[in-house]
Amino acid sequence: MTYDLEVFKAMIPIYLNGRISPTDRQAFDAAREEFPELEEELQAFAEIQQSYATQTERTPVDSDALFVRIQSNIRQENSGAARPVSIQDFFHRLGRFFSSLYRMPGLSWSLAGAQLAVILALVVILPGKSGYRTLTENPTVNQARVSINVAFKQDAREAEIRVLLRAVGATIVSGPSASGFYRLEIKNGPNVEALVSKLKNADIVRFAEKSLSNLIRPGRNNTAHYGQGGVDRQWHASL
Amino acid sequence: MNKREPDELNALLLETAKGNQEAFRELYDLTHNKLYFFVARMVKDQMVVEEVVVDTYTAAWKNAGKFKGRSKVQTWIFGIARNLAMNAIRKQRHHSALEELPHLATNGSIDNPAADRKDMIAKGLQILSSKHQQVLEMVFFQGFNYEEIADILDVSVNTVKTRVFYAKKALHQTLDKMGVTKNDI
Repeated sequence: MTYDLEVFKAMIPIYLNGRISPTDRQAFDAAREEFPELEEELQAFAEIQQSYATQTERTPVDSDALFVRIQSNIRQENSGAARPVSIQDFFHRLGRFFSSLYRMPGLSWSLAGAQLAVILALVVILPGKSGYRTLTENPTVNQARVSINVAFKQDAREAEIRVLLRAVGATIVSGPSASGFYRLEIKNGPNVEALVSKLKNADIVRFAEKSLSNLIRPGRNNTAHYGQGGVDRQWHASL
Repeated sequence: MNKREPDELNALLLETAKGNQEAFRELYDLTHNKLYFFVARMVKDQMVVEEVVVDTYTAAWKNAGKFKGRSKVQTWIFGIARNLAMNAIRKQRHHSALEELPHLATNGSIDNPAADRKDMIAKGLQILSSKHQQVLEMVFFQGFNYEEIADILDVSVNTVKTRVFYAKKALHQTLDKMGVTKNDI
């Protein structure tokens, strides 16, 4: 098989990365002697390849932490897959049901009466903790995860940070903020305080405190609720 | 790329489709590092990169049974990652442009071209367009051939070849702007 120079040039990248076929490799090796331009082009690409050769030494991926997240995602997906109908579908059906009821005048009054009875039951009969809650009442604590605001020292190396996070079982949820704060999450449990103090006492940490956002109800966006300055206020208050 | 990998990855995906979590973990161990950097090249923001990687393997777990073997397992997984990364990019509109790195676009010669050459090439690669970075990385870091890259990026093989050569040309133009002459390279 005969090739022209352009075809050989096109082979250079796969020649360098070892994916060229044995036949083409043989032809390419022969062509290197025949075409001096090919050698020049090969050297230019070889320099690019050398630059990528060091890429495996780049920031290491925290494989285990990522895999834990994948497993958790899969669990969520599996539990979601058990739903027979989508939420939109459900509300659509519900809406159609109520609109059909309101076209019947007798039923409308009955439903209004039923609604009044439910409201009275909630306000008068069940005013305790299981009933409604005012905004000034103590909020619910998120039991599953605990958020911690952390700032690392400037000379802290990424590898050291990863080791520390793994040691306390923490995951970075957001950050860094303008002031260099990260929000971490750890599993709630009896040893939470010990883990927080382990963070506080670590040489590479300059600040670590449980976030105020732990007082937010589960599912809320804590950062949005307290605003960007929330962490910084907590930092200054601790000084 | 290791030659025993395609068969091994096929077997692992087959086991994954049966719900074998150990096989899935092994599949992840063999592929995630390169996938991470592939996504990182497209998305830049580390948190989004992690999200895309997590979603990619979640999708791989879910759809392992649907894999028909028309492409290699690694190509299939990278294809999923590419689509998810593109969605993330559409949401974020995250761009890294030459003007964001003005310190690299200097005029005049560098003081010690021989010593800095590798460093300058590395910097030059960083400021290429995402498409050019991506294709060079897929060839020289991930070790794909043209057909596999075409599969993952959903473009023709000729487009891949052209893109590789334009990437090299763009790198040289960038290096010119940085004051590195062709002789330095």
